[in-house]
Amino acid sequence: MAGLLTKIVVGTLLLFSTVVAYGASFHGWFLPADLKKPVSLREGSTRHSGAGFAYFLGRTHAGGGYRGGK
Amino acid sequence: MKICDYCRTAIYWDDESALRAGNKSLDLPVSARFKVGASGKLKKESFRVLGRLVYAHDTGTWNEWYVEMQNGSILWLSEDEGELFLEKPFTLTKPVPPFGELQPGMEIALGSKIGVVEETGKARCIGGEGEIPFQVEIGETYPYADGAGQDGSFSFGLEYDAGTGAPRAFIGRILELKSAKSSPEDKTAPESRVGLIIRCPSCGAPYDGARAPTTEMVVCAACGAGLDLTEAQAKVVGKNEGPEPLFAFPVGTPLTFDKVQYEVMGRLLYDEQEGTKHYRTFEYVLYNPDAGYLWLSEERGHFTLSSPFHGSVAIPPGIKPKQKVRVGQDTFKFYEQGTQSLKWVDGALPWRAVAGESTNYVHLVKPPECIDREKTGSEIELFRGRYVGPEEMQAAVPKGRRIPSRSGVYSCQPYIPYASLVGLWKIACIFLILNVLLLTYSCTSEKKTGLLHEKMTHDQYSKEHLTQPFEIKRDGTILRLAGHAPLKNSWLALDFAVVNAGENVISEFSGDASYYYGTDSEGSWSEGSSNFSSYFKIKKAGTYKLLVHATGGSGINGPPLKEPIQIYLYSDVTISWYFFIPLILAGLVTFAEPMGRLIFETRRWQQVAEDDDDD
Repeated sequence: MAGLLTKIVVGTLLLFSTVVAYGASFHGWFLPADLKKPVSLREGSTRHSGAGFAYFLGRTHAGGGYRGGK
Repeated sequence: MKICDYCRTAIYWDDESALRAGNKSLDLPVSARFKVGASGKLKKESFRVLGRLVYAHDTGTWNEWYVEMQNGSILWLSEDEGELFLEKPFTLTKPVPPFGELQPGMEIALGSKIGVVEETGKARCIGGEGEIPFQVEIGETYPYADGAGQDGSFSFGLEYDAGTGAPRAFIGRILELKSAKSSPEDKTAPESRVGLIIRCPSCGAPYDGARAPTTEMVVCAACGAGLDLTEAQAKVVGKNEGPEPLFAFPVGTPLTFDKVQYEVMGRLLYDEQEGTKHYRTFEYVLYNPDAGYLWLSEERGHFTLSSPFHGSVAIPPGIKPKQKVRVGQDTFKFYEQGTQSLKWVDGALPWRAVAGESTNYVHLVKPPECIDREKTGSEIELFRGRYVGPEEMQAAVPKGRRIPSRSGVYSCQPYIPYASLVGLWKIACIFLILNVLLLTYSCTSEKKTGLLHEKMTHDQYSKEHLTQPFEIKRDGTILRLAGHAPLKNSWLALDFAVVNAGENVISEFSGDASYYYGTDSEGSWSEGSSNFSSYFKIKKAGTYKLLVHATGGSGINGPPLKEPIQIYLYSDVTISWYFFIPLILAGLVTFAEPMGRLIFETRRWQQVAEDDDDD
């Protein structure tokens, strides 16, 4: 009984991971979702004098910086 | 020479008349197989039993039957502890070592053959019956050595003249028990001590336990005295001390192996002390009148079934566990060696075993088989056995009797994977194959159609740069944005927005790149990459642009180095690495069975590896 249960659990896990991999690989399941509501590039952006579109102004993502080296 | 049937006196004859009367023969045990005057067949060749002599040695007796074959030749059929050897005189063309130089295990040349000495000792003729084709004095003692070929293909015996020390050799073959037997109609009703009452000389109690015609020793159930039956009167040779050990089966228990029913005739308990640890082995001597003897051993609930064999097992000095040892055509692995002492014996045995005696043993394994080389006194015995699993063991015992539960892994226990593990292995293999195919398809179906390639300066991306438009032809297209910047101890944080034809941002994503390098006391180093890559998805077909924005820096908190960047946009891409997740999972499950085997093998050798380390 325990053996059958183990087979069912492991089989389900492998099937689930295969389906997820298929969806993620061919259908981009985990790629960034669309914005809930499209934002007008010109109207929705905060204008900044002489600074292009300034869509991302003030909310540039936090990445970058020195990683500490070796 | 002839033994008088009436008074058992040895009468010596010359060509014409009786010369003299010798000593009286002892009452001889009746053989289950042969009888003087009986006829039988050996491998389809008829024979007739002329007479027999019985010899006593240190630990028991053996019968020598003198048989006349169909062609008139006289052969010697030795019957020792249930084994049969058919031998004839052999002319030695090379000298053999004198008796004093012989040692059990020694190899000696017998003409062109090499024999291995298994036993040395002094034999005393205690009696005989029928006609003997030469003169033997009852009570006469002579040194002897027995052995077999290196591969067990022949047996040999050496008899040394008690006065001159001159050797006589006999050589022959080891017979299977079922291949030699006299006709049942030639036998009379047993007149053996099997039917006689044995009374314990120590306590006077009668022995009424199991016995076989080949029994040479019984143990008094009342006082635990070991009684030697090889002489006319039972003689006490040892005594059990302390309470009876907890044997799994009582004497007399029927046990069935390979469709043959045996009976537990005797039981022995061996103990081996290593430091403060005691290792106990319970041994059951099983007997079937046609099949002979088997030895059933139990240790920690593990059973092995063994029988004697003949050959050469050479153990080099300083041997280590797992070291290979050649035995005939097979290769075994050395497991352990040591000394065990006999703590308890009861029932009836075909040899004389005395509580307190020590046995040096060597244990070799080739699961499920094992070989034990045991040296007791001046005798080496080889046993070849096999592991008996719990199912077979449970089927061997009478219904309703429980067998001891197993603990740990035994030296020759075969690895049998759990059925569920095998099932899991099959399931995992299916998914392994499926995901390999999907991964292959994912990689080969990726066309990486280029949609956009743009270079942009720091001025452009720092103020947010809108790229050229690009066309998406299918709904739900996955795109890959790859980029490069000539970073030198600097970093970039990039933001991207997907802008549709109506100049509305429909989605956002980001990317990073940093590349640092230098030298230190251990040499040069580098980390990170000047490249960046991101995947995103556009749900509906149409014309789109990308809005690119990036900030950067250098050193720990330095200003941006204003590197230019290049971006590439590809469609018809797949994200193949996701298939590595089910592949790894399936791989881990696939490895469960080999891992189980590895753990099993580790546990098999753990005990002797620890002992070896202790040494």
